[in-house]
Amino acid sequence: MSRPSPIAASLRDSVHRELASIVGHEWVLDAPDELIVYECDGLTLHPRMPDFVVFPTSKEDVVKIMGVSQRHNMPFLPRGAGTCLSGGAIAADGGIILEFSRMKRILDLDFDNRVATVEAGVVNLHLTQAAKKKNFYYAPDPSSQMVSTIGGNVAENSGGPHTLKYGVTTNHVVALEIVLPDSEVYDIGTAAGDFVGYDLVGVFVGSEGTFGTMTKATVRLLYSPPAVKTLLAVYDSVADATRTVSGIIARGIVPAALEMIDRNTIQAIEASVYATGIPKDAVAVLLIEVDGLEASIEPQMERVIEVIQANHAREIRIAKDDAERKKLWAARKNAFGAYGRISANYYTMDGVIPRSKLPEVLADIDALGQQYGLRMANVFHAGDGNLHPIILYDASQPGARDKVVALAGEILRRCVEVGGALSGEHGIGLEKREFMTLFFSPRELETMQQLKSVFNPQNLANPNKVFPMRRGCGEMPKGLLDGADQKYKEVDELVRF
Amino acid sequence: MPNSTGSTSQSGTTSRFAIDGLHPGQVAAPETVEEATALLKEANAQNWSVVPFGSGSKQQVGNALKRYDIALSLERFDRILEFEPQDLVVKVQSGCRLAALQDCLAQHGLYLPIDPPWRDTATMGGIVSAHDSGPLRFAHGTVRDYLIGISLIQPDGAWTKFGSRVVKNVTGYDMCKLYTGAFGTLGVLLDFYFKLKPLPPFERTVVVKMKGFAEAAQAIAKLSISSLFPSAVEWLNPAAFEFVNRSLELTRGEPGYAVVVRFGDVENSVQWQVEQLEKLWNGLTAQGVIISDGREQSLVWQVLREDSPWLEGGSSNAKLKVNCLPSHLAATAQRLEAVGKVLNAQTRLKAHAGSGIIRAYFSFDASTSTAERFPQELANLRAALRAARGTAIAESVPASWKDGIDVWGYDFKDKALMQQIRQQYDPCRILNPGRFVV
Repeated sequence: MSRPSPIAASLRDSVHRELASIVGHEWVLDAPDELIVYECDGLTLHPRMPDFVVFPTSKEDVVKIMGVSQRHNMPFLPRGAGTCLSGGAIAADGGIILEFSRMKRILDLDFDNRVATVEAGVVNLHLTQAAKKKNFYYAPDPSSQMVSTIGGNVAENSGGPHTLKYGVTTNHVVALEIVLPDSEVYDIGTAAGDFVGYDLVGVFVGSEGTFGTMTKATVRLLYSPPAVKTLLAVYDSVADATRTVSGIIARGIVPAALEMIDRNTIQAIEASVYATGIPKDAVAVLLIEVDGLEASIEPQMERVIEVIQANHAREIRIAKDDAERKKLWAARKNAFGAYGRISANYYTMDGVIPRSKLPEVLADIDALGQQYGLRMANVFHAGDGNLHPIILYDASQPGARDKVVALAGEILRRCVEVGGALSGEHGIGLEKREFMTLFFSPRELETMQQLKSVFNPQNLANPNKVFPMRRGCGEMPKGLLDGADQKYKEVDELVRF
Repeated sequence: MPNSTGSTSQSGTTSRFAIDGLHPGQVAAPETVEEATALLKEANAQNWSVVPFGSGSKQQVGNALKRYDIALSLERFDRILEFEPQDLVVKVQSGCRLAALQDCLAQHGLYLPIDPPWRDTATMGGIVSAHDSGPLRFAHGTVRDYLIGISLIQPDGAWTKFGSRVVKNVTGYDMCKLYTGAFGTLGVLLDFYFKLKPLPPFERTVVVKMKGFAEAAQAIAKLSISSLFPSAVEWLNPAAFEFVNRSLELTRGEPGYAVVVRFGDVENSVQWQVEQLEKLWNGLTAQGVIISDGREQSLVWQVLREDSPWLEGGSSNAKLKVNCLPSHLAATAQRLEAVGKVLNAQTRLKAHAGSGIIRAYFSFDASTSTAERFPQELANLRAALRAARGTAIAESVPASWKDGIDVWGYDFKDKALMQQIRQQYDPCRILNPGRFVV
């Protein structure tokens, strides 16, 4: 369990009283056994309990909660389903967590304007389910979409497998209602044509809760493609699979999704309830989906299959119907859960590289894993160059965690070296804030902090996230450069702080 | 002026850089980042105002400049720096013209799927700064959706970069968005990474004159909830359609309300969609033509996309960009036609129908028009649009009118946040002072 909160009992009592007066006593949590659920999100490396969890039901509640935060100079952060993988939903500095599970109304499905307006706590998939009645859907589909909320998706600018063709969250949000830490409510952006002035929605999306709280979002709905074809291509070599990815993109085909699953992941999936009968000795599998009109699907499929065959796939399996297609996707989307079967612990990374560098970087990652004596798995958005290396380890082994953290640092450094970035879709949060100096100059970090200061001048909204804390700006995280022994220690410190 | 700012123009050549009749004190055309950086540092220290300048195609958009000391021409930053066809990514300098970029990309079967006006002259820096777009936005969005990396010089001379050449990136805040549509008020943009798309292998354009106003509105509504995936859907009022028809002779007889639809995909898909469109609009159309010839299609889209020819003809001309909900398009268009009547102006309306964006071109006749009522009509229009967060921008008006109107007319609460952003980055207001967010 994380360390207990240091706040004084008198402060605790008065804050509790004030929060309870807003939402009712039963909707304020502050007992350690209740708070422990909130000590981490999808990132379990840095647990920290909040001092309070409060469940607002309206914008007005949020405004009042901001008042409490202000009066007591107590930090806060909004939280949806807590599926964030970079620690964005962890109360790094204690304080108040606003839990949005009571703000989950779909306020308007406006098919004429192809938009929907939802409260922050609406689950991603629920929106698509509601829009389905008129054949529309909400395109961004993070793997967590069955539970993750639009509020969280907006904060993290979430991606997903289908973002290859349809773009990430920011491409689908047109307007937001936000509450800033000073309790002021703003409507930003518009569903009516173009925004005027600076693109406030554009900068708010992906600000990881460090600008303030989003209470309402207006997002685009797309017409569901009438036809979808999904296929699996099975390979005996990773290089052949990655060459297929590059080949498809280079031919100017943009599939709806282009996912790669490696050997360890195949084994994990096949040992789980999501088994789909992929040969267990396969080295890599590509999951490829094309969509569009019936008339456009076949030519696309033909060209994709040509590329696959030219790259020596040993088997191509085309989903015959929707049930088969769903099964293939279930295997992909539940891969992370399946790792539990083959490893005591695992750490999901997120890095992004130019697509053409896939073969080289995947080989490097493999070599790094061997060098560190750690098993790796990989299931990722190959079409976007968005890697998710999974480091499998056993936390009960002495020093295992240190090695994991060091290996992760090496992989990120490699991504940046080839022209990539630190995160494709999981965000920086707590996890990678110390690595930001690999990517940004001190002035660039300052420029981003200037933007934050406009929305969140007192740094009450989700403090200690995104920006490096420990070192002078501009210094490389030492551990990434030093000798191996030193490296374990330093990088662990960086991430654990 | 420091020598390090690159070539400084001789007196007399500033006319190309005039904005609303105002000439810059100097023109600088730096050749290197170092020169541009030095220029900004000096300008910031001396409190000289700087206007980053591409081709100048959109420099007339905005409120009157308060001061205009230096035109910073980016004409020497006109190169394509990296092009990775296999990655569908290009890095290009801000002074590069869209036409030059598209020509290069097309050789590899790729394009940046945007089609703003001024195709042949507009530079990438101007398009990003103005967040300009064209008919293709219906299917492909705007330049905002393709900009994945940016480098710029801050008003104090610091060179900074955000994003990168990867197509998906959440490393830090999404700063590319901040500079898109900022009209050169937050920094001097130097180069960009854009993601690209493959060119559609097959295209058809369908031009349809509708039976009437109501039928045109119905046609758009039906299309927007159909299973067709057009790449562009443009709506025209009779005066606008007549303007298009005059040069292209697409239909015969009286002009009417028209809708022009563009499809781009594999051949089977396009042919099927054209057939479906005929069925979908059965009973609504008066006359239609399917254009298959490539050159003819591109002529139609050129006329629809371009701006300047639409702004000729009157003794004075004005253009509004009206942002409304797509479902309010017909009602808003009716209102604009009524405005035209009040002003006694010829009123041509063309709209990105699916996006809720109408361009209204008013041509005034000196003897019969009542152009003096324009400010009041604009104010009324803005008030009517406000409830749905719609806006009306006076994108083009005679320079002399700018004293009497606010070109942007943006009066929502979040304007205060925008002003604070401006204050953060350009506290001395040296970039485009007075023009945009003040």
